[in-house]
Amino acid sequence: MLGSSILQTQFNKGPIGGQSLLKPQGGRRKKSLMFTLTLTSLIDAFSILVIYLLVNFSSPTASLRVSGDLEIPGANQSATLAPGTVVSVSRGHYFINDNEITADQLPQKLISLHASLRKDPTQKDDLVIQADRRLDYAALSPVIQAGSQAGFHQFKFAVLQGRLGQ
Amino acid sequence: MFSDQPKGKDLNFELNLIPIFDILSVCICFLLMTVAWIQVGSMDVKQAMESEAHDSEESAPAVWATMSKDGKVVLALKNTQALPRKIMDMTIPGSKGGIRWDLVEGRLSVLQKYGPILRTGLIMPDSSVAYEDIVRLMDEMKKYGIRDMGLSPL
Repeated sequence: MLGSSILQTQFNKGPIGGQSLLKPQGGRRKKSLMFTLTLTSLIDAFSILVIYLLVNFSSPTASLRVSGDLEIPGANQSATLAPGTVVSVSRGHYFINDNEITADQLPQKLISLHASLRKDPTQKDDLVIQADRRLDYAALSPVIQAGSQAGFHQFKFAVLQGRLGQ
Repeated sequence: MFSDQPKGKDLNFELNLIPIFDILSVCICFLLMTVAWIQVGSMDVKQAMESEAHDSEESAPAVWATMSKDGKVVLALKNTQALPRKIMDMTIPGSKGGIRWDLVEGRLSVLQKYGPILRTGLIMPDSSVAYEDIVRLMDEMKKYGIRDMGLSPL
């Protein structure tokens, strides 16, 4: 059974065996009807794919969880997203780091968050705003107002790179 | 040294590539499933504090963009020497409630060509202006070199 397996055939009929200077096998054996799968080129292609994916995988961007009903706008001149305090606005609901809060609670929560961020010098005090592209500015303004009040200097509006959403 | 080898045994060996192939396939599947295909970027806005806002207002030339709900955009130059009125104050009317982006782009290019070197912009949207329009105006302004953006709350 082993003698007729693909592995055995491949081992015996491989390209190196045929070109060996010590014991060439190319012309000695009968021609087999079973074809030999050359895996070397496939391994090469797979290695290139793995390297490409690894390079893409390790890009230094912060990840952002976007819920299904939220469509963020697109922009061409966008910068790389850096980590920060994430405020999401969707259909009149406000979330700070995935915890739902009311609009009235926004300033108080952001002030306490900013105060805790200032204690830790390794943390960046950027405010990442993630909002639906169809949202009116009236719903977004309280976040900006509360953020400024809390002392956040840098606001980062989450966008899709390239104008895909439009 | 060679005495242990049975007579006639092939000294050449071929690397068995099947396990390598398996490992690479698993790697590719894992990476394909976990890689982020959609890149999320950010549009950065610097929100000046009260004292900073006062200082910067006095010094740097800036463009103030007012956005109305009917799609009208007004671009006004601030903190700059006198220039022709058509450059100092540009009104871009909307069409069917939407913003005429081709005209906005044209006016911004005129500003950069004939106006002062602009690095600062302030956007003042109306309460019913869509968020995507605000982001697009920021995008257009950044395209024409206005890097320091501000957004006025209502």
